[in-house]
Amino acid sequence: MASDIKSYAYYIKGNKIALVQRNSTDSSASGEDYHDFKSPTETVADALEVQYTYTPDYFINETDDVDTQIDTYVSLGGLLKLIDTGDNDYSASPESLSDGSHIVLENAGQFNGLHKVKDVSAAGSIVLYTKYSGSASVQKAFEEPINLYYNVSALIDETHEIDLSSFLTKAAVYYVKAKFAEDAGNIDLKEYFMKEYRKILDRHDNSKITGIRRMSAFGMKR
Amino acid sequence: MKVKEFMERVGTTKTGRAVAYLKDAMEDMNIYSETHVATEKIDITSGQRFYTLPKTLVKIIDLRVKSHNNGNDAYRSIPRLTFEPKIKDSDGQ
Repeated sequence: MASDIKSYAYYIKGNKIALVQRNSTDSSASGEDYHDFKSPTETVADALEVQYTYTPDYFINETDDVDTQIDTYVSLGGLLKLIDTGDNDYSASPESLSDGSHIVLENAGQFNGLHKVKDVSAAGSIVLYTKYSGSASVQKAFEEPINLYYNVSALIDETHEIDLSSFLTKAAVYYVKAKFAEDAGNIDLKEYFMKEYRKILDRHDNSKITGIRRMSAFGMKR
Repeated sequence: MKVKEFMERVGTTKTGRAVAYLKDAMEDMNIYSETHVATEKIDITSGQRFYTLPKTLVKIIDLRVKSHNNGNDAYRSIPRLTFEPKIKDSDGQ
């Protein structure tokens, strides 16, 4: 007899997560595949939570400078076009977006992160330089209201404030020195700088752990 | 620290290469050391097996699913399969 409690697992296929549900936790399961996995059998909002690391190549100057009216998107000549069906004019204040502006999207699923603006329409749309292959006529809705931060600084020039602690910035200095040494063909120097880079990263990680270290096999039970 | 000061420490005046390598450094740090972490919630759709990962993702730290092995809507970590299941899905590409 199947249980009411669901049991899931995943595997990675290319750039996608494949989410599967144990067949025995589906009320209609039976037969020889009873204990196997299959695709999820129920639609549940916000049910899959992905925790991940990202590259901080942008800095949100003020989190209050956010728009939440974008609700759909389409492809425009292979580029991502964001649409506010309420026709907000993003070229006007307070967003004042134009060609070359940068925005950061949050809660936008695969489109999370930094984007560069190509074109802004007064009729409530923003075309980005971000590549997107999809329908040009059928608008796809975002799963939930997205946050569009328009007061952001992108890592593109010398004025950008690097979003790293001063300790980690030292590690980044060694990394970049290693790359320049590699470009110059000086492999010994490159290896030296990479060693220093790893040493700082290890010290950074170890600095967060105090006291004695214990190991446990508890995680193996998952 | 601003990029300008960073470049002075590295000893270069080549902005383009310095910025490109700095991005590489931050990406490498996040594979090795998890310095910047974000969380994204995705809707599960009945019959849909494959879900697109965020473009900014460098490394997956954890995957949790609502009501996994519990009846009180709590998010719990799910295991990774080492083999693909026997039952295939039509949306796989």
